[in-house]
Amino acid sequence: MSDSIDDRMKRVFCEVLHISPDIYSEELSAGDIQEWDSLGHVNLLQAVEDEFNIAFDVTDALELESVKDFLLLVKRYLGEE
Amino acid sequence: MFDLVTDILHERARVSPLRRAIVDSKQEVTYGELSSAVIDLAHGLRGHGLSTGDRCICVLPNGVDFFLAHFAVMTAAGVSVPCDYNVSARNLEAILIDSGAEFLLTTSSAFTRLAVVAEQLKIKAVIIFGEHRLNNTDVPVYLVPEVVETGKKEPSQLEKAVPNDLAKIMYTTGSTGLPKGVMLRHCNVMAALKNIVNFVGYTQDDSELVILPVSHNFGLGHVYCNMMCGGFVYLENGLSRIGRVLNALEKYRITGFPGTPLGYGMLLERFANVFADKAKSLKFIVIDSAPMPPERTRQLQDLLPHVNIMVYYGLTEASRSAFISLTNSGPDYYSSVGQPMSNVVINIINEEGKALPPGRIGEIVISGPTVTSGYWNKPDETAATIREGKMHTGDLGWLDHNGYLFVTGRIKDVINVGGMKLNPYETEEVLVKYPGICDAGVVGIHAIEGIAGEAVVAGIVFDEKLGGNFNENDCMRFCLAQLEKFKVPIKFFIIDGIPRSDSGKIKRHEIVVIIKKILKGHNKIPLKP
Repeated sequence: MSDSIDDRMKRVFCEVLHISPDIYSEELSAGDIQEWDSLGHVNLLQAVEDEFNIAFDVTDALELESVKDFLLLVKRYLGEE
Repeated sequence: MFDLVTDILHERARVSPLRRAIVDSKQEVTYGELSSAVIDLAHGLRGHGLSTGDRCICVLPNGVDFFLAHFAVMTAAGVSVPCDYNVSARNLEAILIDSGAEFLLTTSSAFTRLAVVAEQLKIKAVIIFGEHRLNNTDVPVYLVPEVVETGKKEPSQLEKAVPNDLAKIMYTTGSTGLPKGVMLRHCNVMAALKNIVNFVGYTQDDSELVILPVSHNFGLGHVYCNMMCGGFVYLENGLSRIGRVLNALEKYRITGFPGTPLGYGMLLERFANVFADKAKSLKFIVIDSAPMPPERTRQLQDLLPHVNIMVYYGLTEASRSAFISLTNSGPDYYSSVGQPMSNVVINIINEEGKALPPGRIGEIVISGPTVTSGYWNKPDETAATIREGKMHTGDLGWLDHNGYLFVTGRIKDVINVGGMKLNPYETEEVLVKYPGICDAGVVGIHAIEGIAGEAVVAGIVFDEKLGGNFNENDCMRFCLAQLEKFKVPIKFFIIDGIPRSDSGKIKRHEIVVIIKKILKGHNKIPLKP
């Protein structure tokens, strides 16, 4: 069985930000940890797009501030809302 | 009118108390409100034992509270020591020991991370901004309202500093990897501010959006400049909340937006059109910390043709020594960092210390009222760097016949990551503690697609018998637990040995050559390791 969106998102975040899985949560937001800084954010946008084979609309990308935001938006793009 | 750094707040509050001074995502204050709160806290600090010249460390994020703390310390005749909000416990310990600071002004969240250091060094008091207090610590911890209350019960006479008094100590990377404190007197800071205000042409109608850390001279200087002229500043912490930053540009009709080439690179790569749309009120951009690639400048100017793009050159030790408007000077000067500011002299010297003529590359040496008197507690480093009042920058460059300065590189080893400077020695010290890494050499490489400036990479000698298979992610986490993020290599290269000179010094240029050979066929290091 393939990984769920949540599992894949967690893996992308941990890999891109180099954080351990116990730091990851839906409530984690940009700037909460030093790893999620400006460069980390840009890398996340790219990595999430690559992982789910989607391209965020600029207006949508501007609103992404937390893990939860990423999850909700990806699910919307994949029609799994 | 403005002789002291504190004058830019209190004098402005006297003249225009109702004008908006600082805004962050949670609150905004007028000059009158901020000045009054600063004076109350300054009385409280004196009431808690702060004496004239005592150092106080401020570990606070970009926001109104940072300026409440910073100005209160100076108003109480103390010396402010701003530190990066993500300062590691290791670095804070070094700064506490070196500065002899007895007060720490911070948030409960940062203090959770730093408490062990404060306890070990038995500092006099920790003052917490925000609502939460840590009770399970031996260090006396107070909330800001409690400190203010103490001051109101026993008001003390606030001693006014004189221009030659120390205003702040800004810690920067030292040659041994440990931080060194640049002493800045009120007169140094004010000389630099007057130059910047004149060159940029700030007015009271200006408003600036500062995303750069105000614990560093670049970000802090922009806030000072606005306050000096009666404008206001909107503060954010970096570009990670990019939507909020761009909305603030529009909402507050921001006229100035200082940044680094790294930050502008991100905006141009991903959000160019929306940035242009939101930046209609923008009048000027000031770029610092690393040279902006000419192509990037052209791209930015094409996107924002109405904006005056300026660049300056300076160090914490000699703030804003040269300035240029790339917009006014044109593409021929896109690689220049400008001409010396008023009262500042820039010379290029050779290895024997002799001045070189225009066109010849040598070490950049700066003199003038903006130059620091030295490093706190470090007479040897001061003597090595500041000789006869001249700051030997360690940077290489040349002047043209019109006095425009072009920076070409560095004599010293410091790596510049988007304006944040690190000494590779500090990262190497951590790396060799990782299981299996026997030796390490850290270098900066200009090779990341879309990113100006250097990226930190490491050549490592790895013994699988000691460490098993090398796991890059695990090694990064190991580093992140002990270092600030910008000091952590984004890529590791296992090499046979670290090239060293007979005296044992790492030959970094040879490591760069080795890594470039490994990368052959892969011109760019991917952003995603």
